[in-house]
Amino acid sequence: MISQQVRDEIFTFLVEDLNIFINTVDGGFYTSSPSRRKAALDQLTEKQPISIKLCTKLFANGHYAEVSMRLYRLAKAFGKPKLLIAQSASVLPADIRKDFVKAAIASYPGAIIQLRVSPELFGGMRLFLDGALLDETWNGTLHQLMHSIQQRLYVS
Amino acid sequence: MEALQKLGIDGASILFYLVNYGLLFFILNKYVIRPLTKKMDERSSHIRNNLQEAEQLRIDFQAEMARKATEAAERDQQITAELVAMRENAEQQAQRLMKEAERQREQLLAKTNADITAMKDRLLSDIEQDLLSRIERIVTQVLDEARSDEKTVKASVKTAWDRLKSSSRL
Repeated sequence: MISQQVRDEIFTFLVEDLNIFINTVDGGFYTSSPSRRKAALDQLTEKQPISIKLCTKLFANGHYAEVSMRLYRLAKAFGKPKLLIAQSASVLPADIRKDFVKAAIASYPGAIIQLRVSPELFGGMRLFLDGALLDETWNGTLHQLMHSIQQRLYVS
Repeated sequence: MEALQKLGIDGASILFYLVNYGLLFFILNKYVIRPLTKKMDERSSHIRNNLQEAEQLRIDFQAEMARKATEAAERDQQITAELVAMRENAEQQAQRLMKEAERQREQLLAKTNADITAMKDRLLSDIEQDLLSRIERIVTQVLDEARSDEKTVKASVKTAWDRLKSSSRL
């Protein structure tokens, strides 16, 4: 039986430290060997209690999408995290990724961030912020344009 | 007496004359006056009867004429009434037929208008959908071509982030 304090510690670590780490770490992390990944995670949890160290072992393998989903599920097991998704037409550059994570953590404390690449968006990016959609994609703009034309045609 | 004798009139003559006159009167009365009177009476009666018949005929004729005139007037009146009734009936029929024709015309017109409107809407809708699908296809094709240029896509992501980071929700 895990105490509430430990649960809260694990949840805080997951949504803050590990969440930021997973989303801001260099892309090489996900292609590196399990031992290197384990070493990087050990470094992250060096000063953390054993319960957190045990949790981080779950993230020693798998690509970003799997790790990110695993993090969200694990966080749900210890609390009620919000889900913030950034979907872009191409891989987000490191600077944008860091800016987004920083802004998201500041605006939505206790939220898990997921970054997704969707070529079908053609260009731009969109954000799903805890149920709200901010769409700046070409695909979204195209659909808005089509909808607008349809509305105008319907009204006229 | 003597004076009468001086004039050649005596008793015998007078008697003779009286007898002669009486005889003549008798004969005339029996064979001339009476048959003549009778004949005249008969003739008079015949004429009176004829006149009465003629009068009766005249009266009957007048009565018949009056009856005929009355009948003719009644017939005229009846015919006139029938004509009026027929005319009114014909006018009513004509009005009813005209109203029915007008109602059918309006129904047909309304149906035709509705059909035309529906057809127009359908055509417009088809054209709109076709137009939209063409626009979408063209834009998608352009976007597909733009997607092959990695720099353009990366630039679009950066532009999108520049817009998104200024959002009040972030």
